[in-house]
Amino acid sequence: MASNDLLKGMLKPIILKLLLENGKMYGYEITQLVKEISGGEIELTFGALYPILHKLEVEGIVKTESEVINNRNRIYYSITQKGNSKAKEKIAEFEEMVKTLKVFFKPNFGLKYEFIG
Amino acid sequence: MNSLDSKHIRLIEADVENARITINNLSQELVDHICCEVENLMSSGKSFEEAYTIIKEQAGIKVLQQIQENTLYLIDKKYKTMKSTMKITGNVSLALIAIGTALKIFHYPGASIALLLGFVTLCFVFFPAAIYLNYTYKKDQKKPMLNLSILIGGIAFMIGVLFKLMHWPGASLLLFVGWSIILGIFLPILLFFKLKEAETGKERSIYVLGVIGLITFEVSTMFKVFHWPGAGPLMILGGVLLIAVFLPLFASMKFKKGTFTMPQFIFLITTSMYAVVLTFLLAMNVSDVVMDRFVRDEANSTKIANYFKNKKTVAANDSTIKVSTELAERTDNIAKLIFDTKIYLITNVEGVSESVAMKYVSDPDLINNKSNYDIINHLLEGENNAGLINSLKKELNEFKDKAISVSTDPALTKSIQELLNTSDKQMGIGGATWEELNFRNTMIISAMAQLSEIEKNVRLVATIVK
Repeated sequence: MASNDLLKGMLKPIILKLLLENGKMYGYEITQLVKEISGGEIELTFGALYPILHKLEVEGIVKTESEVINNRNRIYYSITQKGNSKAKEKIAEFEEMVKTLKVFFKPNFGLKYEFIG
Repeated sequence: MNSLDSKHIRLIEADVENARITINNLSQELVDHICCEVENLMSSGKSFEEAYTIIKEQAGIKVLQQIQENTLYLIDKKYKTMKSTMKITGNVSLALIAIGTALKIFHYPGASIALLLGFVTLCFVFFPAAIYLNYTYKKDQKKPMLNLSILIGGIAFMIGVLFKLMHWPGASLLLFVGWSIILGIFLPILLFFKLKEAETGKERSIYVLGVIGLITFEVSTMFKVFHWPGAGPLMILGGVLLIAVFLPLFASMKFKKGTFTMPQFIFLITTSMYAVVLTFLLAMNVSDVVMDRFVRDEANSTKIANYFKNKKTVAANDSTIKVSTELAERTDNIAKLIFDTKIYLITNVEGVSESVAMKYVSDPDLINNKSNYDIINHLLEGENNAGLINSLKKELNEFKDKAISVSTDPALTKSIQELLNTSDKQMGIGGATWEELNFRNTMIISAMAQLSEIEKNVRLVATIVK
């Protein structure tokens, strides 16, 4: 399972990606989907999730709507029109980063020359 | 998937309510989230109670509050700034006050500046920031009077303490205003809201007890500082009410409600113990000395009464008049020696100039270091029995011998000896000298009172011939 340190910067793009693809989602649904997709590798706790969702809401990237489900209020999040391009931008930025990291962590990359030289 | 019935949902809502989540939507979200987790566990065959117990371990009140805290940190820049300001200034002011106190105890320079900076930071940055945060982000939003009264009362009180420490004028007024606001406005309003919050009659009586205990304790401290009588018993009453009655009841109530964690409990007990034990020590320490002084004063009055009863037997003739003149001269010398001793004590204990010390002699309330024993021993006893107090004893003995030489009546001689007694006392194996009996391990105010008493007795005996 990925450690918390590694997860820190990743959560925002992951949440945005899920919201972009699934339309409106609520908190518990997001945590479950992350778990499912990552095969249990990434555990998005609700303690990490809600602060990020609220931050995104304040930034105007996502909006909320409330619905009564099973006798209780459920808050759904979805990407706003204004936030759409920003969300895509952030995801693209993250994908770029992942590509770079992959190159970086190729076997022996960068180290080969040190040892042979 | 099973869905929870409204009874169970209400139970979860009540628990989340206890975490005092104030951000829009967040409490609803947390309730929904916990419900979903519980439903998930229940679908694998667990009962609601089993499932909720498991979830509660991961999502207790502390966790929920931490989520709110993290959210506020992320979405509210002002909150973040305020919180950091609070943390930094809280630590800085505490450190400054601690350093100032230490410097003051050891009579090093810089104490006043450290204390001044510490108190100013505490009063005008930390305290308002703390109240502002509490007012804006906790569920206290609808209680402006409560926050305003503790803000004004608290600042007046703390500044009053500073003024008192610095011997600046107006300290008493500030303290009085601070206490009045806290006792007359803040605590009653606090009680009002607590009573409104309380669910059972028992809970209500616990809150009433707590506030009564607090008021008694605060009033007793006020009495102590203003030197009004009755402070000691009040303080004991308030302390006992708070520690032995209110705290156990309050803690057991909180435990039963399940809104109290062990660390919180330990913290509460430790801090209240510290506060009350220290105040108790102060109260008992001071009242012990005062008591001692009262008891000795009574014995002294008896001696004076005996002296007057026997005095009429000395008749004035040429030789006694000559002694009388000499006694008057010696009286002035002893009085001067006593005055100088007092000034010497004050300048050394307080670290003030002689002119300031003169003011302190007539108003001992201004004396700050009321509980430092060692320095009195050191100053009075000096090196090799050559201290001020030894000179005083020598003068007293000569004066006494002269007075007795004109006394023709054994009863009068006896009362003179009693009034000006400078003998040592045999106690157990060692015994104690007169100096040790009267001045060893006393505080400066007690030593000064003792010196005044000696002066009074000398002046009395000086009138032996009329």
